[in-house]
Amino acid sequence: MASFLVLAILVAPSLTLAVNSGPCHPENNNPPGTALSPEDLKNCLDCNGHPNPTPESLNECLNGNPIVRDLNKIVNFLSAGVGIVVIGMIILGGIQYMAAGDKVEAITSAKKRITNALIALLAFIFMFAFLQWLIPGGIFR
Amino acid sequence: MITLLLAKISFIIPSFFGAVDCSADPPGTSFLSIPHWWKYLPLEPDGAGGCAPHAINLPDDLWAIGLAIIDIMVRLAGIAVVFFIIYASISYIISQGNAEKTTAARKRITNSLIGLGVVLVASVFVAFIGNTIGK
Repeated sequence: MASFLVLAILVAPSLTLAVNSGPCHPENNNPPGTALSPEDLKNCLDCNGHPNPTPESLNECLNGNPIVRDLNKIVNFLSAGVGIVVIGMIILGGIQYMAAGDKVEAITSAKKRITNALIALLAFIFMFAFLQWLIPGGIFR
Repeated sequence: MITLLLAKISFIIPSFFGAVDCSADPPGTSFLSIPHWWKYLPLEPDGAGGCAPHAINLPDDLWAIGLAIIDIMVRLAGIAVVFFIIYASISYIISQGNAEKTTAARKRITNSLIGLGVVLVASVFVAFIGNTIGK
């Protein structure tokens, strides 16, 4: 039930694209996200109200959707900063290592900082690969 | 001789002798060769012989500033390692053969060298990954 609600709230407005009536309507045996046959698609309207939508115009509608567009902006901005933040943390850990002197616990904390930065980089790389595989067309452009 | 002098003066005070080239952060304008935080922003002549960023668009320019801050941190680490090694060497000298103090000083030196290695390897490593992924 909860997953259906999430689908209805998040996925349906972006994927069913302002359909008007008949087979286009999600309540007429067309669960959100299912592919329509070409005959059915002729009676549908895309998000701009134009009839007979093509896959290109539907894709345009999807990319023009505020959720998708802003999500792409945020994702691109944050993924550009990952490398910079990770290298900054590693350099901070190096300076901490230098300043540690002969104190063992200070060296341990510096090592912890460096390994955590590397774990973050690894997590981002795996998340990048997973999302690129999961989302058709890829989210990182 | 006079031409050499003129060339030197024109290097020191470029605004009197022509337009300032602001396509890159001009060298020799910063303290201890530490780069400015606006190094990677689009620069323009500021009218006083230097260069300054024209406008800062947040948040798009945030990572450019972050990259410049990383450059500053690498330079600061290079300066800091010199001072840490000098401090450790002096403590080595004044240890007077005391075994505990000499091992502590030696550990100090090796740790500061390890820290320098971490800083250098990190900058090279992440620049390499950024170049290969970013293409």
